[in-house]
Amino acid sequence: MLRRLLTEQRGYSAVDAVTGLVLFALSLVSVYQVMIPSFAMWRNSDERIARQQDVRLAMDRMSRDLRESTLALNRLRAYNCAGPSANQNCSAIGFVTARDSNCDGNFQLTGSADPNWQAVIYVWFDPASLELRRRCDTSTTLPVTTWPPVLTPSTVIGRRIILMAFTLLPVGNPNPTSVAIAIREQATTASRPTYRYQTNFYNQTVFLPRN
Amino acid sequence: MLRRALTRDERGLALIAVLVMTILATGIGIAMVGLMNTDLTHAGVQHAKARSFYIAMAGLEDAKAQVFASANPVAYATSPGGVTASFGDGQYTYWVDAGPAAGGCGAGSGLKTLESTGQVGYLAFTISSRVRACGVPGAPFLTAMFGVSLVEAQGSTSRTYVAPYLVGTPGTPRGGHIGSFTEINFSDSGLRLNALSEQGIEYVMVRDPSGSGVISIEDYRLFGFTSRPIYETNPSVDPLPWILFAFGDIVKGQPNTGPLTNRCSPYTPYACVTTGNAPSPADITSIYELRYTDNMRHAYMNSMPQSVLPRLCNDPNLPNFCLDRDEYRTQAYNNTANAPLNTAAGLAAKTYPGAIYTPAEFTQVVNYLASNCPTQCLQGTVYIDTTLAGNCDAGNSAGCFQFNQNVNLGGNTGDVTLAVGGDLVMNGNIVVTNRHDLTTAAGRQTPGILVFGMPAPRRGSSNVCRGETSNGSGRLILCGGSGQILIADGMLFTADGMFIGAQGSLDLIGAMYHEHRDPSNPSYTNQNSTVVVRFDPLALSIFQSGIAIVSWQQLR
Repeated sequence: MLRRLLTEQRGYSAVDAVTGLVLFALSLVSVYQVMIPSFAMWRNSDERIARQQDVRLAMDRMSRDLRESTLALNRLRAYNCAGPSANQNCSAIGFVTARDSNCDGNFQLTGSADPNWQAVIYVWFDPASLELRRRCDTSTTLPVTTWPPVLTPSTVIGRRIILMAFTLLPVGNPNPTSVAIAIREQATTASRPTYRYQTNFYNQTVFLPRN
Repeated sequence: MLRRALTRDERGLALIAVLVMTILATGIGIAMVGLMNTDLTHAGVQHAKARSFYIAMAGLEDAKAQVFASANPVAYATSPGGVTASFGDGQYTYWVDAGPAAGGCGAGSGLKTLESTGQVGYLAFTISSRVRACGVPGAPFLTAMFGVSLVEAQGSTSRTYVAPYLVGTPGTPRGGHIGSFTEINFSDSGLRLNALSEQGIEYVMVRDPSGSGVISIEDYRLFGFTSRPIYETNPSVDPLPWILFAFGDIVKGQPNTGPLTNRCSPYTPYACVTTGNAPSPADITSIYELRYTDNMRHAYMNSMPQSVLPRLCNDPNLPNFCLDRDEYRTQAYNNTANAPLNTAAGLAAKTYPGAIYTPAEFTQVVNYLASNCPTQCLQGTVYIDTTLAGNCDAGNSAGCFQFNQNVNLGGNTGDVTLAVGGDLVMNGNIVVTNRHDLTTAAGRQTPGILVFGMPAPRRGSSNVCRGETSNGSGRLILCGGSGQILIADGMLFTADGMFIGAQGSLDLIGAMYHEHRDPSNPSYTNQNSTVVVRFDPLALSIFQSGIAIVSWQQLR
């Protein structure tokens, strides 16, 4: 009797274990199913923060250069402009910098403490790679009149860009006083299809060249 | 009993499963929150950095305001520790010519260094930004030639160059700005403004930097070009090498006390830019329009910004901005450095003490200087008081002093400020020189010629030359002629405008500011003459109010 009982216990135990594992797996799946929206939300939030941060970083990488530049005629030019007005919705810009050492060194002054221009910085949107690129041209202090200049070597300052627009403000005014930059960045596809969260991120900032 | 035990074991298995699942879910949750938290921290740091930048900018503006408010902007400085104040959710510290800002814009340059750091706390960190600006103390704004009322160039042979003083490569720095509160008019399509050897190499007469007299140089050298630009036939095309970047702006000003009237139609609250002599001209809005649409093919400037600027004189609300006639008269009164010269010139007994002269007395001084300077020259501030009598007409009417012969007032490195309580006239075909020691900031800040006029201009007026009249209102009249040239350094100020007659020349290192006493009087007229202004911002320090920023940088 005891032997039979023991035998039954072993058999029952195996069934019990299998059943337990199945139930456990089902429970895990259920939990996972319940948490899928949470996972997606987390993934999306993470992506969103990362993209917003990317856009802000791209802006940051241009902000000092632009603020330290000038709007004097021919020292700052916008290129590839989609309009409708002149110098509106342009995909590239070139402007002077007074920083030496490949545009990242010390700010140079003349004897009268005016900026001593050292180079030209170009920033442009490359639609093929969806990248925002920056180049320092130390061979001149005047941006080219027509796009493109020599564009290599360059550095990437923004990725997954789907829209890039430089506009000289006031729009259409022949004497601009500031530069507006609009960037739209696309999130990766992984976070997009299932749930309808925001998938691209837009930042527009106006910079005032102070020199 | 065994069955009960087995049953208890089954309950235990379920508990373990729940615990495992809970631990798993908790672990996943913590990992998710951790990752998100890292990203949020990065975003927070970026935000704090942006805030610190704007707080630093607030500190810089506060520093400017303190310089602006000080009685002596040129001398104002903070302590080495700077000035700290809370702002927003952070704080800024600024320094003026002290601490980290000491000498940042060039020690002894006469320029002021302003530096500000903004700090914001974020978590356990302090995020900071630092900005620096270089400015001209005492200068409310930066224009090389400014007229409250009409600024005009007349005639097809008038030539004007507004270049930088400390010229480096072209455009660094740019040439000076031209501005007005009312109107800037170009009356003839043949006139030239910054037209650098357009139709062949052209020369201008300027002072000899190594001694007395004048020399002739190619005009493009004034802006740092080493060769003549290549001009296009199309006026909309910038000559090669591109030259417009090297020039200053035409500043359409509006006084901060409210707009002045002008004759433009439609009315513009800022000064308008016009061409020709139409009674109600339209405002020109760009250099392109001026050169191309309005056919001023030989006028080259950079752009035409509109700007609200302080009205420096004739404004009771802004007494600090006005140059004070009495202050300079007092300086001359206390100036005893010219006593030996006075005696040598036969002026042992003068009408007024110190360096105050009547026109007749100053004529004697000029006679003496013509033979003896630069061996013995005038020094310091001298004042010509025309209240009693003048020397510009046969009747010696009051209110006017006239130069009638070549003279060097202070030598080639002098420090003379010529202040006139009346009108100042330069007869035709003479050379008058008033140069300063431009190797020092003090020399560059010393005013050159200040034509204040009489406190109350006399009724009636005397004909002087070329239709110009004198009544002691404070006009500077250069009668012109191919042999005439006025060489001056520092600020050239008039209370009632300046006129330069045909074929005359002006060689000025400094700046000029022209008021008016009657709105119908032009503030500045170039009538077929050649004007070379090499703009030195330090000349504007004379106004002793405000600070004009010449460069800005973000240190961190």
